[in-house]
Amino acid sequence: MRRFEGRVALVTGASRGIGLAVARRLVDEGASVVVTGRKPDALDAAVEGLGAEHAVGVAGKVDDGEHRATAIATAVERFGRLDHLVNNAGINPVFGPVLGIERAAVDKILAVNVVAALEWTRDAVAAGLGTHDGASVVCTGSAAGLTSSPGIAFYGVSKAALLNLTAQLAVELAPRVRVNAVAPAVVRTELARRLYEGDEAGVAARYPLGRLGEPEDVAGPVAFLLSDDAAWVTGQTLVLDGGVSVRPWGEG
Amino acid sequence: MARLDGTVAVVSGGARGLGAAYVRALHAEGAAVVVGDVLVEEARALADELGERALAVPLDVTSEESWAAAVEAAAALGVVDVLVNNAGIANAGRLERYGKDQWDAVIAVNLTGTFLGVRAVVPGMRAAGRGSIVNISSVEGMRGDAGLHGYVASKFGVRGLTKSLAVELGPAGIRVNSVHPGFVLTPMTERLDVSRQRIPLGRPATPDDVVGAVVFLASDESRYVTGTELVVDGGMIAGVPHA
Repeated sequence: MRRFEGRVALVTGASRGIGLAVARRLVDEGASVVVTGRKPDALDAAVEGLGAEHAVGVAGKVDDGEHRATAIATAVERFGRLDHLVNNAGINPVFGPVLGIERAAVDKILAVNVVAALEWTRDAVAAGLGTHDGASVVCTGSAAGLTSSPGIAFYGVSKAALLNLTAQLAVELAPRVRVNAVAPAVVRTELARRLYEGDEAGVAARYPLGRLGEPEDVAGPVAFLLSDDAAWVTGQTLVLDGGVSVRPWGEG
Repeated sequence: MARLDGTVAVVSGGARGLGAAYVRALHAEGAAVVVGDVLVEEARALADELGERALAVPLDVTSEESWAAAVEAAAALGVVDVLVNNAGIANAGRLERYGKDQWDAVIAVNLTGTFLGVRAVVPGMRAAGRGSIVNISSVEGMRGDAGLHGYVASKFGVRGLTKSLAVELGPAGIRVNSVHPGFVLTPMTERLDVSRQRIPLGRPATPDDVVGAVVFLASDESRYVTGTELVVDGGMIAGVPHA
């Protein structure tokens, strides 16, 4: 399956975890990708794994405007166009009660998880995303944005905002650019480690499919939403959670 | 490699409209497909056209006996891996003029028909330890609409049934999800006025716009997706510009 032949994608937060799995999947299906991440060494390793002829890394922080401009310009200069944006970079949740969160943490979580998605999407469109048929954006939301999420509450607040932003952008950018989101539950990544470490079997038992998610479980749905297979899907959030959100509390 | 090589899929209401589009798409991805429909001649013509890996069976989704016979016939192709509960009807009328016979008819086909389809295929899926059930709901399973009481209730019912099934069948390796098409040009919608729909992507769908979602949910591409709703509506549910 080569749905992204000749297409160019930009994936933020892609040196590991879900972002890297998505980039891998897009390259496997024919895309050229620009990947971003905070740590140059990890990003270099990711690019090497993806293959330097199809991938280029731009290191930086997702809420840094200069980094954003460089990454978007790199896609256009290196590969000649930009078709897809994956707003994937997200900040680690702050653990503890929402009433105890510090203002600085609130500002940082909103800057990275919500405002960055708005600004990357805006600037990608300004740089030409949408000039070719099939343009699309996917935001990595979270199941924590769909209900209360005790322990990581403000992370959930930020993801709820991101999912609403997705719908807003979808309406404003239609019909040229489709915008959708995925909402994974606990995926085995560094970001989520504290949510399952020490009791993975116990956590997995609450999932009807009996296991936690893997980054590759997210890559398939993101690729679907980015691709022309989803040509009439926009403004939507695809929940991919092994069924945990439809299981009543206290069961299993 | 195609995404559904080596699998067997049953599509109810598969003879025409969206159902026929699902049949063609699943078949193109490598699945052997059973075309179930009360429109026996049209189902047979489609199966004949597809040739290998296609079988037409008479299927009245409101009848347990009919489902049992269809699944038995499908055994010629193998164990059923994928069920697309697509058969549906619509009727309309303001409350005072919307009779119990209309209500009963739409609930019987859209909701009870879905339930009976799941009951028919799950024993085989349990034994195989795998399966994907795709229930076709509608944007009318996400919101209300005047004059569409039975249809809306049936499609909300399909959405809810999908979730209870996902919880119960997940441990058996069987995934269950719902697809919610918006305004699609089919024989069922040909009398409706497209110009009244406000669709951000600026056009109604053709059946080909919806098939990607069904193939995705049928295949291992969505292996960690169960109990969810996939809306394919050109942005209708996301909203409309206020400007």
